[in-house]
Amino acid sequence: MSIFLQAVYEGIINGSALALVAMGIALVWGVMGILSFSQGEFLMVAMFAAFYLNVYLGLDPIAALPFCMAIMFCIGYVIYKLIIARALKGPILGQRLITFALSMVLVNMALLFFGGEFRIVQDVAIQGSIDLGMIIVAKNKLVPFVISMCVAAFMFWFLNKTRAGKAIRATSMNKTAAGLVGIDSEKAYAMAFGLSAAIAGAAGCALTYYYYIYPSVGSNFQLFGFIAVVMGGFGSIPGALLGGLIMGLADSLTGVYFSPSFKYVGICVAFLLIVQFKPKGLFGGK
Amino acid sequence: MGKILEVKNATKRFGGLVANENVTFDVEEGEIVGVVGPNGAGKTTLFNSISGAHPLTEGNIIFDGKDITTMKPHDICKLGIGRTFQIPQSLVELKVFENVLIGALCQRNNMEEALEHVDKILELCGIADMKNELAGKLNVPQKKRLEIARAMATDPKLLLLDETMAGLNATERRESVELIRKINATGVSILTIEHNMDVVMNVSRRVVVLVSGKLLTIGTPDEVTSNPEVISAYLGGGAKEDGK
Amino acid sequence: MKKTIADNKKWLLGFFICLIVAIIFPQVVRIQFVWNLLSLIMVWAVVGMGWNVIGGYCGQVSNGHSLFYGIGAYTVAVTCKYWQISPWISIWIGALISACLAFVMGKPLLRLKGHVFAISTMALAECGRIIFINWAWIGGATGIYIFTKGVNEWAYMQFKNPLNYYYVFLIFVVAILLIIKALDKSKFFYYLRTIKGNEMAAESVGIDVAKYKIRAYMMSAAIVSIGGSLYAQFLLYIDPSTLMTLNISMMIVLTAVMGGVGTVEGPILGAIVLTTISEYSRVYLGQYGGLDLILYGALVILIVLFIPGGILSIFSKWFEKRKEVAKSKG
Repeated sequence: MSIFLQAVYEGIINGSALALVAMGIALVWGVMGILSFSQGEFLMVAMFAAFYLNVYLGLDPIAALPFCMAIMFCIGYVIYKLIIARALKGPILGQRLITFALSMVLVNMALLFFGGEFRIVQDVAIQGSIDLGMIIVAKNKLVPFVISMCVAAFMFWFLNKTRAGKAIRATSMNKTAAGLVGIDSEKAYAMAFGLSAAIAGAAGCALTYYYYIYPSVGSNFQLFGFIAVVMGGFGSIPGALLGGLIMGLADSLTGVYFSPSFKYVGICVAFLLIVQFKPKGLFGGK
Repeated sequence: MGKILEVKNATKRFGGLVANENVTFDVEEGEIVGVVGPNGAGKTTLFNSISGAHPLTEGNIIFDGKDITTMKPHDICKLGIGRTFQIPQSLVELKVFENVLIGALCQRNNMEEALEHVDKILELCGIADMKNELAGKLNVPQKKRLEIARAMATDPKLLLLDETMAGLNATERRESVELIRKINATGVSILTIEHNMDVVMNVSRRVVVLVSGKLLTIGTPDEVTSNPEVISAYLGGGAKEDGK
Repeated sequence: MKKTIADNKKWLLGFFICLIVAIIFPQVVRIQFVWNLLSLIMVWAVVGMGWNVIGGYCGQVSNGHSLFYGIGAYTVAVTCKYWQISPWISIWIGALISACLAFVMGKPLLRLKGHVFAISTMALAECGRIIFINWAWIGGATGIYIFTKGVNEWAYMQFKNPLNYYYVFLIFVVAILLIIKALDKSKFFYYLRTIKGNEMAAESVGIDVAKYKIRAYMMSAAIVSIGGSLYAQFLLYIDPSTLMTLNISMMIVLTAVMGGVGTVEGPILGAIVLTTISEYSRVYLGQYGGLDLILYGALVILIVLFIPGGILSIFSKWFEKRKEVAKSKG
């Protein structure tokens, strides 16, 4: 029982970061129809940002969070303006390949500038663990979870309640109609892309609380992020959040009860089966 | 004269929505039958059921003596039912002749034979001079003709035409009617959905009237237009004069 | 009909010129590095042409073809290690295994569309990679050596001279190119183009969409598997993390897209451009960790952005312009 609870706990913790990556992917997919391969790399860039903010300015990752999100938003916005906006005029396959090439550039830039070694943020503000009897809760792992949920809540608020958020949602539903009522779709797209990078940035920043930082860290989240989005009924942001949490759970539970080395096979097979029987995702209705 | 198509008690439901209910009629060999009815009467649903795009909920469809109710669209096409779509589904990246070629390959494996057949069909449908244009560059009337040409290339015994004249002007409609007559003269039976009444009355030997999914009546254009039920349900008072 | 024959004649003429250039070029440029580069170009040309069948002609964009690439490579490696089977035979065994796997997986996978299909193929390839990493019999994560001492170079396709690889690979490329050229205007490939363009229209003209998709997937898998086998023979050492990653899958797609999706010659052009960029940047910039791949990625972005139709489209546009000029003059 205690093993099970521990696995559930670890799963939800890991799943929360995945959920944020998945939300970013779902946002880009839903709004502009691109399968973005660079979302995992946005997370990586934010991790490095958090790391250096800690080293040079002594900021704890929690304090660095707004900066990381702001930096990532700007990076995303600029990338949209420079590359994605133009790519959207071309074929869908080209868009996908461009985000892939972009991820390649980002990973290798990190390698070039920061080197390939594994780093970790020393002396985070919240440490230690609480023994709850059945499970041991590491406080530093709790932080990313709490932050992820806050960011997710913020996202829902932003998309549903603010003007800019509503504009993004309207554009994703019907670009022409949104244009007719005076929404600048170009602006909404750029916002959405920047936002998706910012969410990944939040996830990355929070993860530095216990996760190793290295250039190819993003690839750990990329495929599972995609899978989470499809499971959640692709393009749906709340679905992606749930999908991410489920993926995290599946990851840790299969690791404990199935086989640590073959767990990803189990997850991928489960995914392929789900897509067969629920082609619109677990929460996609019929 | 034998029956080429028999629709028996065809019922199609989408969840709780009944699109077709208990529709029964037939098409005789060499006949042109029109299907009319107001928007949402279930005309296109009926076509989709016949061509196999979705299965019937109840009832049967017999084509040329064979029960095709549960068959897949591609098998139905091979048996000899060609169809067009209300919104032309041209392959915009292929040339006009290639669009027709993929139809011609349905009953032929030899490329040269198929290409010869394509030329004949293009000639018949009056788009031979656009042979090497990309289909994406055609205008709407041309796309509608291409749609018919592609279906004709599969050597159908029965052709299902879904609103081939919607969006055409009077001259283009006249040409289109001529084309339908020409096709019919080659021995192909035709079932045609048409929104525009005068065209249907003009070209069909018999007319099927559908109203909210149900068969209201079937008969010659004269019978149908003088049927008081039809007049009240669909045509309205002035339609008879329009039809003439 | 006469026009097509004339077109074919022109194509064949161009083909022979290119072939002669391809044969003579390495005799003129006698640099080991160039010979290696040429061999790699041939491998990527095979793989690109293979992917193009399902992704380019049929429009089902698989992002998991590294699976078949890996199967091809591992089949020659394992059969050589355990049973001393010559790759000349085991290449075909690998192609057969890949085609069979494509047949089995094709049915469920090819029902999916768009991004979901792409993600599913990625998931499948990931399964393959993890299985191969954990499968001790085939070398696990450390990989497997193919190199065997004292065997006949030609019988076991293990050459000391890279030029021999190049010429052998060239034969494969030419054979596959000719097959695809022959199929280009065939019923099979017209049906694939129809499926890519519009599945509903395809069904309405009597095309069994599922059947043709699976056939294309099988053919594609078999060709990519051959490419994997050739690559394994070239390296003589393989492991899952050089063969079966997502990066490889994406580079397979890139090769076809760079050259021109759904064209006969496109993937070869793509292979020439991409492999040349990656090899030269690796040699000259590789020591500055990552700089070569930054350049590679940046060039890919630029090419895809500014030549969305692929490199071949530049040539065909230029060719059409010349035709028009000739027409207006004549």
